[in-house]
Amino acid sequence: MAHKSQGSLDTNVILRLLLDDVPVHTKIVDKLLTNTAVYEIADMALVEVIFVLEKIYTMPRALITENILGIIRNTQFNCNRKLFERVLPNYAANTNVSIADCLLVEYARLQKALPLHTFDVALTKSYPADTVLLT
Amino acid sequence: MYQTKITSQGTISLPIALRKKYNLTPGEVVTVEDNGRITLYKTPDLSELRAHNKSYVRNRTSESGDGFSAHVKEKYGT
Repeated sequence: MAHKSQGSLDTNVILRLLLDDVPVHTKIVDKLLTNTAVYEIADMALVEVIFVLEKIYTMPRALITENILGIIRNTQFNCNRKLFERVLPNYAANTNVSIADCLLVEYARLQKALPLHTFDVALTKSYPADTVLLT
Repeated sequence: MYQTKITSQGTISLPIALRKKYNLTPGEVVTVEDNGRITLYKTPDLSELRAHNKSYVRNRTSESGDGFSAHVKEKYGT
Protein backbone atom coordinates (compact mmCIF):
# COMPACT_ATOMS: atom_id res chain seq x y z
CA MET A 1 0.00 0.00 0.00
CA ALA A 2 1.90 3.03 -1.23
CA HIS A 3 -0.63 5.77 -0.47
CA LYS A 4 -0.09 8.09 2.45
CA SER A 5 -2.77 7.86 5.12
CA GLN A 6 -5.20 10.75 5.37
CA GLY A 7 -6.10 9.94 8.96
CA SER A 8 -7.55 7.14 11.04
CA LEU A 9 -11.01 5.74 11.66
CA ASP A 10 -12.52 4.98 15.05
CA THR A 11 -14.88 2.16 16.04
CA ASN A 12 -18.10 4.09 15.49
CA VAL A 13 -17.11 5.16 12.00
CA ILE A 14 -16.46 1.54 11.02
CA LEU A 15 -19.72 0.40 12.62
CA ARG A 16 -21.78 3.01 10.74
CA LEU A 17 -19.98 2.05 7.54
CA LEU A 18 -20.91 -1.61 7.99
CA LEU A 19 -24.35 -1.34 9.54
CA ASP A 20 -25.95 1.73 7.97
CA ASP A 21 -28.11 1.96 11.11
CA VAL A 22 -27.66 5.69 11.61
CA PRO A 23 -28.25 6.91 8.04
CA VAL A 24 -27.01 10.45 8.70
CA HIS A 25 -23.69 9.13 9.98
CA THR A 26 -23.39 6.49 7.26
CA LYS A 27 -23.86 9.22 4.66
CA ILE A 28 -21.00 11.21 6.22
CA VAL A 29 -18.74 8.13 6.28
CA ASP A 30 -19.60 7.26 2.68
CA LYS A 31 -18.75 10.83 1.67
CA LEU A 32 -15.43 10.63 3.53
CA LEU A 33 -14.55 7.49 1.60
CA THR A 34 -15.56 8.68 -1.86
CA ASN A 35 -12.04 9.90 -2.58
CA THR A 36 -9.04 7.62 -2.99
CA ALA A 37 -7.53 8.50 0.38
CA VAL A 38 -6.26 5.74 2.63
CA TYR A 39 -7.22 5.59 6.30
CA GLU A 40 -5.53 3.78 9.18
CA ILE A 41 -7.50 1.39 11.37
CA ALA A 42 -5.90 0.34 14.65
CA ASP A 43 -6.13 -3.25 15.95
CA MET A 44 -8.03 -1.89 18.94
CA ALA A 45 -10.76 -0.41 16.72
CA LEU A 46 -11.23 -3.69 14.86
CA VAL A 47 -11.41 -5.63 18.13
CA GLU A 48 -14.04 -3.26 19.51
CA VAL A 49 -16.06 -3.53 16.27
CA ILE A 50 -16.01 -7.32 16.71
CA PHE A 51 -17.15 -7.07 20.36
CA VAL A 52 -19.97 -4.68 19.46
CA LEU A 53 -21.22 -6.82 16.56
CA GLU A 54 -21.08 -9.93 18.73
CA LYS A 55 -22.38 -8.69 22.07
CA ILE A 56 -24.65 -5.79 21.15
CA TYR A 57 -25.93 -6.79 17.70
CA THR A 58 -25.76 -10.57 18.45
CA MET A 59 -24.30 -11.24 15.04
CA PRO A 60 -22.96 -14.77 14.36
CA ARG A 61 -19.20 -15.12 14.15
CA ALA A 62 -19.26 -16.21 10.51
CA LEU A 63 -20.94 -12.95 9.49
CA ILE A 64 -18.69 -10.89 11.78
CA THR A 65 -15.70 -12.53 10.09
CA GLU A 66 -17.11 -11.63 6.68
CA ASN A 67 -17.54 -8.01 7.81
CA ILE A 68 -14.01 -7.71 9.16
CA LEU A 69 -12.56 -9.33 6.05
CA GLY A 70 -14.57 -6.76 4.10
CA ILE A 71 -12.71 -4.04 5.97
CA ILE A 72 -9.20 -5.45 6.03
CA ARG A 73 -9.26 -6.46 2.36
CA ASN A 74 -10.37 -3.01 1.30
CA THR A 75 -7.37 -1.16 -0.10
CA GLN A 76 -8.70 2.12 1.28
CA PHE A 77 -7.83 0.94 4.77
CA ASN A 78 -4.40 0.35 6.27
CA CYS A 79 -4.47 -2.12 9.13
CA ASN A 80 -2.78 -5.18 10.57
CA ARG A 81 -3.95 -7.46 7.75
CA LYS A 82 -1.53 -10.28 8.46
CA LEU A 83 -2.63 -10.61 12.07
CA PHE A 84 -6.37 -10.46 11.37
CA GLU A 85 -6.23 -12.76 8.33
CA ARG A 86 -4.59 -15.32 10.61
CA VAL A 87 -6.82 -14.83 13.62
CA LEU A 88 -10.27 -14.62 12.01
CA PRO A 89 -10.59 -18.30 10.98
CA ASN A 90 -9.76 -19.32 14.57
CA TYR A 91 -12.21 -16.78 15.98
CA ALA A 92 -14.99 -18.08 13.69
CA ALA A 93 -14.26 -21.71 14.58
CA ASN A 94 -13.75 -21.42 18.35
CA THR A 95 -16.98 -19.98 19.74
CA ASN A 96 -15.81 -20.56 23.34
CA VAL A 97 -12.91 -18.17 22.96
CA SER A 98 -13.16 -14.40 22.57
CA ILE A 99 -11.46 -12.41 19.84
CA ALA A 100 -9.15 -10.98 22.52
CA ASP A 101 -7.97 -14.46 23.47
CA CYS A 102 -7.61 -15.54 19.84
CA LEU A 103 -5.45 -12.45 19.29
CA LEU A 104 -3.31 -13.19 22.34
CA VAL A 105 -2.49 -16.63 20.97
CA GLU A 106 -1.75 -15.23 17.53
CA TYR A 107 0.51 -12.50 18.98
CA ALA A 108 2.40 -15.17 20.92
CA ARG A 109 2.79 -17.23 17.75
CA LEU A 110 3.99 -14.29 15.68
CA GLN A 111 6.39 -13.18 18.43
CA LYS A 112 7.59 -16.77 18.79
CA ALA A 113 6.73 -16.42 22.48
CA LEU A 114 4.78 -19.59 23.10
CA PRO A 115 3.30 -21.03 25.22
CA LEU A 116 0.73 -18.53 26.38
CA HIS A 117 0.28 -18.93 30.14
CA THR A 118 -3.32 -18.64 31.27
CA PHE A 119 -5.94 -19.54 33.89
CA ASP A 120 -8.57 -19.81 31.16
CA VAL A 121 -9.60 -23.46 30.72
CA ALA A 122 -11.63 -22.75 27.55
CA LEU A 123 -8.59 -21.12 25.97
CA THR A 124 -6.34 -24.10 26.72
CA LYS A 125 -8.97 -26.48 25.30
CA SER A 126 -9.18 -24.49 22.06
CA TYR A 127 -5.41 -24.05 21.73
CA PRO A 128 -3.87 -27.05 23.53
CA ALA A 129 -0.58 -26.85 21.63
CA ASP A 130 -0.06 -23.14 22.23
CA THR A 131 -1.18 -22.62 25.84
CA VAL A 132 -0.34 -23.78 29.35
CA LEU A 133 -3.00 -23.84 32.05
CA LEU A 134 -1.69 -22.36 35.29
CA THR A 135 -2.91 -24.28 38.32
CA MET B 1 -3.29 -25.19 -9.05
CA TYR B 2 -3.57 -23.16 -12.23
CA GLN B 3 -1.04 -21.53 -14.53
CA THR B 4 -1.59 -18.38 -16.52
CA LYS B 5 0.74 -16.36 -18.75
CA ILE B 6 1.60 -12.68 -18.22
CA THR B 7 1.27 -10.65 -21.43
CA SER B 8 3.66 -7.87 -22.47
CA GLN B 9 1.05 -5.45 -21.06
CA GLY B 10 1.27 -7.17 -17.68
CA THR B 11 -2.23 -8.60 -17.82
CA ILE B 12 -3.21 -12.15 -16.93
CA SER B 13 -6.32 -14.19 -17.57
CA LEU B 14 -7.99 -15.89 -14.66
CA PRO B 15 -8.96 -19.48 -15.42
CA ILE B 16 -12.69 -19.83 -16.06
CA ALA B 17 -13.05 -22.40 -13.27
CA LEU B 18 -11.89 -19.78 -10.72
CA ARG B 19 -14.04 -17.04 -12.20
CA LYS B 20 -17.05 -19.31 -11.87
CA LYS B 21 -16.12 -20.53 -8.41
CA TYR B 22 -15.67 -17.02 -7.00
CA ASN B 23 -18.36 -15.43 -9.14
CA LEU B 24 -15.93 -12.97 -10.73
CA THR B 25 -17.58 -11.04 -13.49
CA PRO B 26 -16.11 -8.75 -16.21
CA GLY B 27 -15.51 -5.22 -14.97
CA GLU B 28 -15.34 -6.29 -11.34
CA VAL B 29 -12.47 -4.84 -9.32
CA VAL B 30 -10.15 -7.21 -7.46
CA THR B 31 -7.51 -6.42 -4.87
CA VAL B 32 -3.90 -7.50 -5.44
CA GLU B 33 -1.79 -7.77 -2.30
CA ASP B 34 1.97 -8.12 -2.09
CA ASN B 35 2.58 -10.12 1.07
CA GLY B 36 5.69 -11.95 -0.03
CA ARG B 37 3.42 -13.80 -2.44
CA ILE B 38 0.86 -12.21 -4.69
CA THR B 39 -2.63 -12.68 -3.30
CA LEU B 40 -5.73 -11.80 -5.26
CA TYR B 41 -8.87 -10.92 -3.31
CA LYS B 42 -12.36 -10.40 -4.53
CA THR B 43 -12.91 -6.82 -3.39
CA PRO B 44 -15.65 -6.91 -0.75
CA ASP B 45 -18.92 -5.36 -1.73
CA LEU B 46 -20.00 -3.03 1.05
CA SER B 47 -23.62 -2.84 -0.06
CA GLU B 48 -23.81 -6.66 0.04
CA LEU B 49 -22.45 -6.65 3.60
CA ARG B 50 -24.92 -3.99 4.67
CA ALA B 51 -27.79 -6.02 3.24
CA HIS B 52 -26.65 -9.10 5.19
CA ASN B 53 -26.27 -7.02 8.36
CA LYS B 54 -29.73 -5.47 8.14
CA SER B 55 -31.56 -8.10 10.20
CA TYR B 56 -28.97 -7.83 12.99
CA VAL B 57 -29.40 -4.08 13.22
CA ARG B 58 -32.93 -4.82 14.45
CA ASN B 59 -31.43 -7.28 16.98
CA ARG B 60 -29.53 -4.56 18.79
CA THR B 61 -29.70 -5.32 22.50
CA SER B 62 -30.38 -2.68 25.11
CA GLU B 63 -26.84 -3.17 26.35
CA SER B 64 -25.34 0.25 26.83
CA GLY B 65 -21.69 1.27 26.68
CA ASP B 66 -18.93 0.07 24.43
CA GLY B 67 -18.07 -3.35 23.09
CA PHE B 68 -15.21 -3.89 25.53
CA SER B 69 -17.51 -3.31 28.53
CA ALA B 70 -20.08 -5.78 27.16
CA HIS B 71 -17.31 -8.35 26.75
CA VAL B 72 -15.85 -7.74 30.22
CA LYS B 73 -19.33 -7.92 31.78
CA GLU B 74 -20.04 -11.25 30.09
CA LYS B 75 -16.66 -12.80 30.76
CA TYR B 76 -15.87 -11.47 34.22
CA GLY B 77 -19.36 -10.61 35.46
CA THR B 78 -18.54 -7.10 36.63
